[in-house]
Amino acid sequence: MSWVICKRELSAYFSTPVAYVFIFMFLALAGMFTFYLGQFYQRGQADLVPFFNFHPWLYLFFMPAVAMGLWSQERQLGTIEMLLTLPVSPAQAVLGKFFAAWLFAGIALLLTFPMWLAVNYLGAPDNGVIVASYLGSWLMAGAFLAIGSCMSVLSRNQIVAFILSVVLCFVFMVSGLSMVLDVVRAWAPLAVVDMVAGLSFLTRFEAMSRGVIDLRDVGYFVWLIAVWLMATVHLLNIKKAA
Amino acid sequence: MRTVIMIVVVAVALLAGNALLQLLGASARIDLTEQQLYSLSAGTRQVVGELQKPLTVELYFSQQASEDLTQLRAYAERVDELLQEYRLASDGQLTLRRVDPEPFSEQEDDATRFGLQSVPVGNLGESLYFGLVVRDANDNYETLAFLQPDREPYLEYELTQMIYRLQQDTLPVIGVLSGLPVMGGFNPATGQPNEPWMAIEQLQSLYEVRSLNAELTRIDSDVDVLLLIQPPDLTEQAQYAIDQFALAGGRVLAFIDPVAETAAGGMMGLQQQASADSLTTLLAAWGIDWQSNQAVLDATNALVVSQGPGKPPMRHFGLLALGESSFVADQLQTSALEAVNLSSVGRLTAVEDASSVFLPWLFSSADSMSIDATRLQMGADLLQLQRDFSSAAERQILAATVTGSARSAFSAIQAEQWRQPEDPEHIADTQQLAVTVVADTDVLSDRLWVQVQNFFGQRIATPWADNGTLLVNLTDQMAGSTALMSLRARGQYQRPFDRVEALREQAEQRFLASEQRLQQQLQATEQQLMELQPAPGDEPLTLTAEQQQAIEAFQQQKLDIRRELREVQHALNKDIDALGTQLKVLNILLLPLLLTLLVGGIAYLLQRRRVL
Repeated sequence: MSWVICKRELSAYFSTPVAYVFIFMFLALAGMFTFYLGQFYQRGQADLVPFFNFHPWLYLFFMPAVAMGLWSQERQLGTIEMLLTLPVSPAQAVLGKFFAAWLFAGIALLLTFPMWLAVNYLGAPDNGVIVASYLGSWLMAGAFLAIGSCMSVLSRNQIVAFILSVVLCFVFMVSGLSMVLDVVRAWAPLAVVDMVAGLSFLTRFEAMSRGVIDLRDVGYFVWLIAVWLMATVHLLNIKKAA
Repeated sequence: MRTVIMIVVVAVALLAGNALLQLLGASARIDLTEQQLYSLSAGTRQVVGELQKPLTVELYFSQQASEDLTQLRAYAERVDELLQEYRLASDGQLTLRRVDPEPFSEQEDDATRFGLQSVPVGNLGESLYFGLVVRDANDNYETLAFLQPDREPYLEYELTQMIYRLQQDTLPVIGVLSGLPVMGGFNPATGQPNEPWMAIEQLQSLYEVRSLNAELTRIDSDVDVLLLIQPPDLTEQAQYAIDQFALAGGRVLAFIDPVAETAAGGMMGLQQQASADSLTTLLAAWGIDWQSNQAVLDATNALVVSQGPGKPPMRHFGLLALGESSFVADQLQTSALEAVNLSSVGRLTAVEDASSVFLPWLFSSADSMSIDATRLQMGADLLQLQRDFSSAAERQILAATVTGSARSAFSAIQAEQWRQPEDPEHIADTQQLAVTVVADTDVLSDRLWVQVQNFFGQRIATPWADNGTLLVNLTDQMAGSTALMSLRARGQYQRPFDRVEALREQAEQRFLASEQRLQQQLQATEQQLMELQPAPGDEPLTLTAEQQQAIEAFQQQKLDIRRELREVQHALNKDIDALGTQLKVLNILLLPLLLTLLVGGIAYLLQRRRVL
């Protein structure tokens, strides 16, 4: 059933011009950041480090934008009641919608393949590192979307859902930085501080971008997605009951 | 309120799940890097698997002082995981300990005793220790004073090397005889002591490196490998000592150079003082013909060098960057090497009718020629070198090994003059000669392969080519220890844009052609102008209107040619810039637009098919 919803949602994405604007902007911005801020060509190094370095920051705004309509739109239009009366469990609906969004993000990410071609045209990059970075990037996109999905249930206003997701994603991104850790350090022992630091998207993504696929990094993203989707289901059940 | 509770629940679930995942350990991971940079290599497994005595590896890491340093803490975890891999591979011979050297603790005293480096962190300047100590039961130890995260790809090699050294009861002895300041020493220009060359410093970490005197009468019997680097003028007695050492089966590794300009660091006098001429007799006796006045230019392997601000970078035909295609395949000393840089390298040939076996293993490309070596001295005109280049269409031999039988360069009668009473009998010939000669000394100098930084008084080497590795490999092979070779060249080197380099090469060729044509035109025009103008001593003539016109036309032509020359110079990097712009436009605008349209088209077709 989730798969039916996923397919329906995915085709719904492509039936509006928003998806195309999104894809175009994502590709263009990724290219701009890589070439201008990352100095890709001037560095003269055959790798995609400047390209992947900007992914977390691109996702910080793009993924909440993809996810904001997942549930708040349904609530706003009143279609959520109809959806939940169908023979579909909330969990199936949540999964279906999430996978549609994740696949959509995956398609956008795949469409950056000209960068890969370019770097292979220019020199001889370590393609194993690039594969690992792509995988890390897609997993990270999933984590952003799962948070976005949960925030989208919270508000019927898409903009509010968007802002909430950006803020929360930002916290997860920077949780490895001292500005967040200082708050934790004030009351928690060092082990907890390390655990919070281990929640950072940036740290995990960087670890994968070295070219090493570690079960713990992959597991972190998968677990994070699972937890936020469970929270989404839980919230949906509350709304349903109400 | 419900939302807050949910967020707390989510946070707790995340933390708990994460903690569980950490318990899984580091065994489940795939290293996708080309050189398996983050996995234990076969060399390490061999060294660690063959440990003869138990060792303890201690990781010193300051927990409290590193609180704010998330990245460093993550790196410390990875180091810890690497150590676990070592422990597993060691078959119980390695023990691991994690030590937290808190301020004023016994552990901190230990850290200081082992020479670990403390780095001040935070506002209060707390000391942060992050080092490794490998110890044996007799309290012999090796240390890595501070583990810098950016040196992660080298960590395995450094650690394995430490373990390897601790296993050796006595280190092989390398005797170094050089006229260049390879061992460091006092620099009269700066009044400061010079550090040894990094290549030699690396040898020092593996062997006992002993400096030999040029006036030696014999080579110590415990010397395993004699390393000659552009030796100073040798007395006949010293030459005889080297001859007898080689004939007695001693291993000789010689680096000789027609122009040791980078190696001498531009210090005049040093070049004259150190020349390989005094080795010529010995080399000839071993079967190597060496022309000390010949150097090799190579158009294919030329390195791109900067010419200073405002000028485009240019390829230097005398500075060679040699890759795999320049090495003979299946040679242990060069296997796994990616790049070796040489400067003003000489050429070797085999002596005809020599009894030894001559095995060349390092070559220039076929697009090379040999020139008078003096032209490559300091301040060589790169453009002129390119202009005068005409390929000999044949590969030059840059390094070779001679083995087998050879006769002494000296007769028994000569030997009588130099032989000391305690010396063994004169050896007239041998069947076990083993001499390796590389026709360059600059290859060992820091500036051709390594960046050396000073990190709190400790010298940190970041190589950008394999020159140092080549020296250590050659020495290892000769001293008979080869276990470390396979993991030595696992560095992360530059991955340049090959296509851009190729464009630069083409641009230079075009520039040379136009430049030559325009220079000729300019000379012709200037000649014609001179002919038209009256000579200084002559009476000033009144020029006819036609003559006046001709002079003006020529002057205009001269200006035009000069302008054109400048434009040609400017156009040198045009293609490179154009490629950059094309890629930018393609990746930022054109392809995003096309791909978006393509996705739109596919979606439209799919939806139409569904409707139909």
